[in-house]
Amino acid sequence: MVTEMREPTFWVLTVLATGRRHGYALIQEARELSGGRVDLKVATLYAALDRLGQQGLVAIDGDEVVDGRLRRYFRLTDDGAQQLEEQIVRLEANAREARARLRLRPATPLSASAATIGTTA
Amino acid sequence: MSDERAEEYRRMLRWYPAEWRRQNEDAIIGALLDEDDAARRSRPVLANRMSLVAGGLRQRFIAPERRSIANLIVLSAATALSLFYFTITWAPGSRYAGSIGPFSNPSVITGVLLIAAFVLALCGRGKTARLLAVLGIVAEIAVGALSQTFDWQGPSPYTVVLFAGLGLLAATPPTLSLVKRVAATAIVLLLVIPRPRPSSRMRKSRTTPRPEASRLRRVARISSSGKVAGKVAGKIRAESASEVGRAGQGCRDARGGIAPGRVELRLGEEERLREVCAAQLGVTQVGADEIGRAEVGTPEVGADQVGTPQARPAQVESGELGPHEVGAGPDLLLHPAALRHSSTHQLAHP
Repeated sequence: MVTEMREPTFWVLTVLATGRRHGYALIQEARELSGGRVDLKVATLYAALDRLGQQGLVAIDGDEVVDGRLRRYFRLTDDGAQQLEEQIVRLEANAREARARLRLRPATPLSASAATIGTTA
Repeated sequence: MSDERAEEYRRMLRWYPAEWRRQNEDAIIGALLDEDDAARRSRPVLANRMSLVAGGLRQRFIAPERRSIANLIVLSAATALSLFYFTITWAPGSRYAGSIGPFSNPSVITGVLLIAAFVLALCGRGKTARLLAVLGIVAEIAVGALSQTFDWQGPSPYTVVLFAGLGLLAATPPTLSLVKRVAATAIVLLLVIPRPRPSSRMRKSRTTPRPEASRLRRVARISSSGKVAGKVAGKIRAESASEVGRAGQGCRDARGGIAPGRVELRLGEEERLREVCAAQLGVTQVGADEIGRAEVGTPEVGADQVGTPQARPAQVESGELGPHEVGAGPDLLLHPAALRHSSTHQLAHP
């Protein structure tokens, strides 16, 4: 069974799917891709990367020094790619189900029928 | 400019464990400075400061660490002991120094802490579990020392060693070598092994269901020499011999010899020990005994003692044994001071 992945994790893995990123780039892209919903703090990102590293979903992909500032790069591992794939399958299945059900929704809005019952009672 | 910010971040990162800092400090400072530059900030913002404090504390105390099987085994043993301890100290309605809630012994605090540590360890919160185990050790030693000092109902030294020892094992970091753990366990077990007798006795005493089972019971062991060792079920400290000792003199057989055995009393029943002995030990006839003498000898208590606290338990004894009901309730007997006085009285009238 695929367990639900929290949204920050989902976006971190999604950003890394296209290649290695350093910390701040990850935060920026996750914010953009999520439409601003996921605005990670640096400390939160590093806690998440720590955990994902322990789970073997991401790996450190080298440090680079730019203007005397360390940039640590991360990449998605094969396990990480597979986890992300499983999440996508799960989310697609959810979306399909919701879409199908929404199509079967009765024509009369529920709130309107409730109001009718309310006035006749 | 960037140096100043970097130094400030470095200071804040002290919330993180040293090991974590060695690996990540420069990288996280780099990312923080990248972010500040992008937002054209010359100083760390509050949100980042707070998240660094929170992140550091999390990394120190609740970051998921590998579950240690050894710690889990120790904590499951501690949980089993604690649950057993809850059952033997369960005595709702009893009130005296040392009772806590419905339990008769403050050591249950340690039990609660160790069980909580077990649950946390199962959830992968090994560090918090170890912290709780340390608190458990502190609580157990404090409770042991306080109850000894103030004469509360408290844990026996064995119980203190058992609880504190298990807590210590559970608190040791999982990095400690297996050999050291096993050695520590062996030491604790060696200290504990002389102890199982009382608990097995208590288990046996539980097999005879009695009305008002919830009332605190006393288990008195009467040796052939007439010495009586007493124990309140749930009270691990076995210093209560004097409390039942005087009553135990009543267990004599038909020839006037002392009938050895084990009798179980409900609290407040000490004064009826002759009847209880007769019923439980199968003593057909109870000979003259100390209680009887006390009954007969009540007038001999002496004018000097009338009105003193020593005289009161004697009245209770004779009142409950004889046809004249004095009417003192068992509450008086519960009072440690009264019990002490009555045993003093006993010594005064051999």
